[in-house]
Amino acid sequence: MSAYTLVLATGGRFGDNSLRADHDAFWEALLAMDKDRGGRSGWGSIDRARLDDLVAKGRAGDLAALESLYGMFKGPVFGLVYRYAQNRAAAEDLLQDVFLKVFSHMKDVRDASTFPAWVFRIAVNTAYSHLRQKRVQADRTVPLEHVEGSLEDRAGERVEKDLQGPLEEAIGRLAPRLRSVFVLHDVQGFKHEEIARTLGCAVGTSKSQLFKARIKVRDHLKARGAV
Amino acid sequence: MRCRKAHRYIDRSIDGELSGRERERLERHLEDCAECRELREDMRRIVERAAALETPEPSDKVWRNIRARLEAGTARPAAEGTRLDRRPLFGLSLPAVRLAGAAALALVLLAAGIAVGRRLGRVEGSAAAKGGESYTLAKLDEAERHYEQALQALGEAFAAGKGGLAPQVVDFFDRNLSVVDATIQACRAAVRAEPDDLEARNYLRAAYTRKVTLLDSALDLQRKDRDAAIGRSII
Repeated sequence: MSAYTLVLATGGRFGDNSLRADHDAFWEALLAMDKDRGGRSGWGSIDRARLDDLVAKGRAGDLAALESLYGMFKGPVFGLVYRYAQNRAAAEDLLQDVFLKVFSHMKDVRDASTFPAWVFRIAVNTAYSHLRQKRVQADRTVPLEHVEGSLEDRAGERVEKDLQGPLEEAIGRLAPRLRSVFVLHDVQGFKHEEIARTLGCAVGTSKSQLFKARIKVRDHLKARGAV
Repeated sequence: MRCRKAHRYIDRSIDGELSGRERERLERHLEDCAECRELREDMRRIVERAAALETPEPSDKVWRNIRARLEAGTARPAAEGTRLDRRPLFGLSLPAVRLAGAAALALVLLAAGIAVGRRLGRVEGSAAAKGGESYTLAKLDEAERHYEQALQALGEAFAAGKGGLAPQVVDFFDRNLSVVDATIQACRAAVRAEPDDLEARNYLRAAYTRKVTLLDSALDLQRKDRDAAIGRSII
């Protein structure tokens, strides 16, 4: 089980306390999970009391607390947004955006237990927004190759996609929703219940989208003889 | 069991969601179906490889930027305010941007003028056509003046900040700009030879646009480096 599998167990709208019932189960699972995650996540030795404390201090504008919160979540959030941006610079921009959104609304956090799920929901929404902007920009720009010849050095293309390998390429070709489910489940190890809460869909929808995503990934890899 | 159902079972089996009875049914199907066996193996490999994918760590400058914004009290994300370290295309607050906009407008007028000129030419013969051509060329001159002003301002801003960029980046932009300049010259010659050639006019307009975009990108990079420098000084 990956380190942050159960991060989303307390999903729901930000500030929504109706999910308190999930809280204890979430933390128990999270703490148990800490033992076998093998250092794959950025959660480190986080415990419930520590997160409560950091969120409380963060609400009061304590920079050190905000930095600690950033340190806890930056790894998994970066892993998610990287699969949308597909290059480091854009992914870091998104990561920055996500945490600026989070930290600029810290005062609204009423229940620290909803904090992890809220962070991931913001990450997904920010990534979707990025994709929309990218599409609009692509519609507006005029590629030089339409003019005459092409630029002699397309260094921009070389750095455009940092995530290498046929599997990353296949993930990058998935539709946004399928990509979310595939990355959260198969790459990051979230459960369908957690994904459903993050994406605001039914568990069954999350499962069927994962199936579609896997089939599309397989088709892509097969076409390249990579599976 | 049919293959379609077997596919669903395979998907669920990968995640350990099948009951004992369902597993038995799937295994019976797989004994006789090579395609489904292959699908299961592929799925297993994909899931294993996905779980093993690694993501690089974000660089320290992300937190430095966030902290700088928090300390400055301007922690508004890009979606809610101005972009933090990237401007939208033509997002400079330089006169060059306004000039570029004026140039684009002039080119639109140029295209409209040419259309009018061609219509006149059809009605009134070659004399009117020649008038249309001279109108086109006059509009072309006007559009180019706007573009040249815009490009000059952007070029000067880029040249002033070259020292802050890595030499290979400067070299990359210089070489690409020279390619675009050559394209502009070729397209300009084509338009002057055949003012009514719609394709040539489109090429010229795109080449000018490309040059503005390239310079804008260069300025963007310079600005990002300045942000990083500010972040370092805070540390």
